Amino acid sequence: MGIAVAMAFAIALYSFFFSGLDAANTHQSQTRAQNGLRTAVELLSRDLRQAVSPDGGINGGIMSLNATSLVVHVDPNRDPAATVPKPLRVRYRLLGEQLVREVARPIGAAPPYSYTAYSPPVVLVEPLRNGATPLFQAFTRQGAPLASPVAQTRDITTVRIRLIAGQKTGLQATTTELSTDVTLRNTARY
Amino acid sequence: MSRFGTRPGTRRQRGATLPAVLGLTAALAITVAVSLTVARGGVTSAAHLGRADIAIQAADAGVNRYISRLVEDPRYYDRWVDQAEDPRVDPAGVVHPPGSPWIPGTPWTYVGPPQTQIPLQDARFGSATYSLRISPPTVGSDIVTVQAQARVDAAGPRPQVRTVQAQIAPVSIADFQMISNKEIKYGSAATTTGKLYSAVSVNHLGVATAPVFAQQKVCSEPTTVECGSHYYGSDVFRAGAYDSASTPSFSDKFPTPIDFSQFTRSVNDLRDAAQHGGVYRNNPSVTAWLVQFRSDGTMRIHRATSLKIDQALSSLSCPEIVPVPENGAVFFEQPVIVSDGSSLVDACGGRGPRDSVVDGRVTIATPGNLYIGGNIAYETSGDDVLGLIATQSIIFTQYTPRDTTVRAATLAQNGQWITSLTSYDGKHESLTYIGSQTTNQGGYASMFRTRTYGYDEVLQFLRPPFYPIIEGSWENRYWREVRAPS
Repeated sequence: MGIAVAMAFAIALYSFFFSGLDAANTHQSQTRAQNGLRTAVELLSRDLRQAVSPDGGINGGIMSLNATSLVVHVDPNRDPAATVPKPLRVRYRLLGEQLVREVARPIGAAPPYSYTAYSPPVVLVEPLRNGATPLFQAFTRQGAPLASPVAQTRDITTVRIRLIAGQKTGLQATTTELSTDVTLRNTARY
Repeated sequence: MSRFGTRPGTRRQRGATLPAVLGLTAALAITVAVSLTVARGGVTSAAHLGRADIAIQAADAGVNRYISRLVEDPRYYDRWVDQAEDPRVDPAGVVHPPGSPWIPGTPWTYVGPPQTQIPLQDARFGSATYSLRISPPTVGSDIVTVQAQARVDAAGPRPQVRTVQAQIAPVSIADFQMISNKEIKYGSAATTTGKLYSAVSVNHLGVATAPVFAQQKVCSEPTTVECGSHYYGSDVFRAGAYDSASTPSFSDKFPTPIDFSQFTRSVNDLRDAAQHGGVYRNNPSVTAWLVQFRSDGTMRIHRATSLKIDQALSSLSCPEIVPVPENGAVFFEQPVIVSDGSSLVDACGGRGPRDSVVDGRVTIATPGNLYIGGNIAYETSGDDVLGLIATQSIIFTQYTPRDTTVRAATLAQNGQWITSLTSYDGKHESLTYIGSQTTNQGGYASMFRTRTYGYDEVLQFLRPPFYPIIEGSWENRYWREVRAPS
């Protein structure tokens, strides 16, 4: 009888322990996924917001955009006195199950710049589970969606970022999603 | 044996359950604590990002507030210290608080960290406020620089401060290679590198590397001038074409089509500036004025007589030599001729031709026709710029050289952009025009056997003084986050 009670107590105890462990693991997995997404969305938003023409307005700040890839020009210089942009070329793309960021540096003293090869990719989110859902979608100033890949990137005024990352809920594989719309500030109206 | 005595065997139990329970509970407690700490970190991080986003939005609101002021009054910065602006300090050291009027032309500085704080909202992440600092355009530039610093939850334990710097400028008509109230057609040999605008249609048989806007139709049809259908192929229109049927449409890009009558304001401003520090001439006895720009930063001004200004000049007075004015404004109440390709001798014995080399940033305007009589070049590309504004027509004369090259931004506000003759006369082989053309009634240059039109990219950032802007077109040229001012 005592053994039975002790076993029941032990089972309850271990169940409680393992469910707590599961909850902790779930929490950790979800927090990691959410933090990764949050960082990626913040970085993407910042780069898109400040995307600037690399050649004084001949081309727009976004070089190309399709459902899984985005190339923008952005100058990270924060010096208020540096008023002429010399932007980096930044590529975000889906690489397997990873969202990666790659950077090419400008060569030359004045526009039009040529660019170095892209740096090794930095992983922002993993695993990405967007499936058929586009990571990037472009819209005009009037809010009309532009077909992907966007033929005339000058028409892009807003970019919708939608990232779906894999996570664990207990032993089950689930997903978490973060989405935002970013309005480009340096778009030419005409 | 006592009733309450120890039962046989129990003495061997060592009380292992309690330590096990305590151990497991402790392990679980640690796990839960770590988990809660991580979760709390996530929440804190999310709140931090939320505040940062609000700070950016508040700073952006400040920039947009100032843009709206400039749309109402393009020289607002020169007339008022904005309510959201930090106090300005004039050269005498006098501090001017927000909301006070400003004496135009007076430079200013700011002292210390941002002081004015305009509240924007007081929501979940604490109150958001912003302050502005303005830098006026430098000489020859239109760019007003607005620096907006925003604070969120300034009184809280983790305030967020973000600063945005925006260079804002109006869109000038010189940002376009061609603006016409009539249909435009380019031949198969034409490659246009600047933006094109027509209030009717653009029929382009060559290649357009910059966007094309037509209120009705854009096409590529060899047999007609006006378009019969719509065509947007990237083989012709590399940077997009927008008309009544495209997405986005012409009206999406231009909710209000360009109104040529609005350019009168620029002409009046230019006349006013010419009378106050510029070059202004009004002599009703003069048939026309001939201007030749010199590479030393001066202009030679002759009084010209002629029976038909577009055909030949009869006589020229001795030249008056004046420096290109600092404010860039030159206004003649009578018709004006720029450059002279003839060999006419003036009253002082000076012989033509009188090609122009512009050293400076200058715009000439006249209420009549403006004639181009010879070559026009710039002394330093990227530093010099010439605008030519005729309230009536821009006309290339018959005494232009056999091979004529002209670099300028030109506007025929009510008339045409034409050559004196409507067909090749055997004396004019080529016209190379580099710049921007704006014409109300269209035009032609068929007096020249070959015509080459190119856009001057310099006009994208160097607007000729007082050259018209498109109404309400102030926009960000370069918006970015910067370090906060100390």
